[in-house]
Amino acid sequence: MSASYSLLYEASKVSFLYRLGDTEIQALESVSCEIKQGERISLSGPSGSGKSTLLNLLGLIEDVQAGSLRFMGREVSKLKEREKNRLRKFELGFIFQSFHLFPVLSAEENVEYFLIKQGLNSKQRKQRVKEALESVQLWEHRQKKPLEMSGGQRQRIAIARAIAKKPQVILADEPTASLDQGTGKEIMSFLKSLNEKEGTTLIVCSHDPMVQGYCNRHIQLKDGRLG
Amino acid sequence: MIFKLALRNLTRSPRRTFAALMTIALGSGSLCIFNGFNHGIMNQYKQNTIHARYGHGQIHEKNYRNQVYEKPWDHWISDWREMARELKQIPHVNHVFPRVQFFSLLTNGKVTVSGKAQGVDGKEESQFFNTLNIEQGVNLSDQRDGILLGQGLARSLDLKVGDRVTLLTNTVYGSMNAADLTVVGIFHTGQKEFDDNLFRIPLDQALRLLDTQKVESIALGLDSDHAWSEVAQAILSRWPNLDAIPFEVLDRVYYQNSVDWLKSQFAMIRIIILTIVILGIFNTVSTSLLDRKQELGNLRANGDSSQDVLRLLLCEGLVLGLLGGALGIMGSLVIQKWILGHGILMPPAPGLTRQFHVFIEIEPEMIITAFTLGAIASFLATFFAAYQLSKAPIAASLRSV
Repeated sequence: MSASYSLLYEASKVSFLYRLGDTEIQALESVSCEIKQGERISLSGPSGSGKSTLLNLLGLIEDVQAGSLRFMGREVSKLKEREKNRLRKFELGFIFQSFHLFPVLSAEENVEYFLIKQGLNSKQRKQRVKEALESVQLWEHRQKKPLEMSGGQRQRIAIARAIAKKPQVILADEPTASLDQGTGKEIMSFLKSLNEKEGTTLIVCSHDPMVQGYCNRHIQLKDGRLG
Repeated sequence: MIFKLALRNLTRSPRRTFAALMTIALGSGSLCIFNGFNHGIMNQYKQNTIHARYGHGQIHEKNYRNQVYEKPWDHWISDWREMARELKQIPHVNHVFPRVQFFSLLTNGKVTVSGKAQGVDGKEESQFFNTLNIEQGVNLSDQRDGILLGQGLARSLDLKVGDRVTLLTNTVYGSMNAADLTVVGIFHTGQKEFDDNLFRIPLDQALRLLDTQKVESIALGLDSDHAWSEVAQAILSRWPNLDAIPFEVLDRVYYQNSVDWLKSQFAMIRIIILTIVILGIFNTVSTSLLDRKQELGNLRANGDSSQDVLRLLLCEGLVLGLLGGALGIMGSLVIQKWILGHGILMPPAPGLTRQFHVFIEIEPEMIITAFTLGAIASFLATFFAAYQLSKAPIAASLRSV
């Protein structure tokens, strides 16, 4: 599938404030940007710059407090929770630093879990699970539980779980932070090829220059503003 | 998959799961044992009441028990011999006991006391009323001049087996009548009030003393404790002018009040046990869920609604409850059969003067109740622990450490 580069996200003057007791922290301030389908974007900046907050807003897991954010042409702040759940279920895939796999399920079952939630039948699920695990080269390890795998293998399971959903966007929050440099490169290389082959938009939040090297566009944040 | 995940999640922390399972098992098992113990006590009471005094029920002329008559014998049953024959034809009726009761004086020549006489068919009654403890001598059978005295009464008159005693009473026509009788036995039922006043003489002797051919009541002994309503229905359709009163009404003070009292007590204990189980599970589940906050955040980030997350956790709670409940029931059955199989020796119950053995009698409905309550307790505890967490903002859940 080739990338169509149609507009996926439109953020206009988005601000976000954390309240911790009496303390207020301005995580984002008047951030505006556009993200097109098929782009490979790195969100970077020092700790506390607001990159994770922006990633959360793009992943619809944090509510927009001020400004406007449109996803696939729809104003996010006007979406009902049910619609946001649907978008998260079908259009968004997440990869986290600490994987968040189910330790009691096998690799295969971990990948299959969200496909059940998508309402796919057994045959479709098996097909997608196989494709996803083969693409991360873990099909042979499908019966293993996460705790029986290395960190790199676990992250690849998390990637397989995200791509099996066939989302429009994959949002990765520090996907290589828990991995050694070699495994991190392997993971980023795989995500890059996925983006190139499938046209899946990739948004990676990281302060690792290696990660940024795999992206074709960089959004730099500093003190909640675009750098 | 949700059920599979719920089941496997129980293996995450074996120690926590074990603690939760034991909490539920103890709760369910305790409910089952306590209910079985109560049932055992009530059954002892019931058997004592049926086989010491009342039979499964009694027949009187209509409203006889509710009225005080100047001449009660005018309201006694006259054609009782024919009736007794017909009563024995009714299914479940094994024994028919015609009886008269009247007050009289007993004298040993030195001391005179009043007592309550029961004229009974001694031979027939001795087969059924087997919880009447014969302390000395023998039970009243077919001894024409025999008298069986309550323990307290015998003591008051300083009588022992073989002694003679004179009974003085009025006939139904008002004239005095008397009989010289021989003490054949001394009994105690365990109920002091009963043992201090009552004595038994043969029915024929009682009818002669009263100069009547009527009986006051007919007690019945059935082949099953549960057949009374069927028998009563048959009696009332054949003799609509009679009342058929079950033993629990006849002995409302001791039996039915005890049943009601123990039921209330059980309801209270049930609430206490449920509360303990809910708090115990709540604590265990809360701790366990805090460790899984990020994972639950991930579920929601991938499109699960808070209800989906809650459903998963409730499913886990339910599985835990069902397993814990089953363990508790199995444990209580083991205790019932092997550990307390010989019963528990209890001190005299209220109104009784003798010890008795209580057996844990676990009925199917008790198992269902204890099992269901264990599952409900676990479900509720999980709900209280999981509700807030399922509603937590996704980003906050993912950020938590």
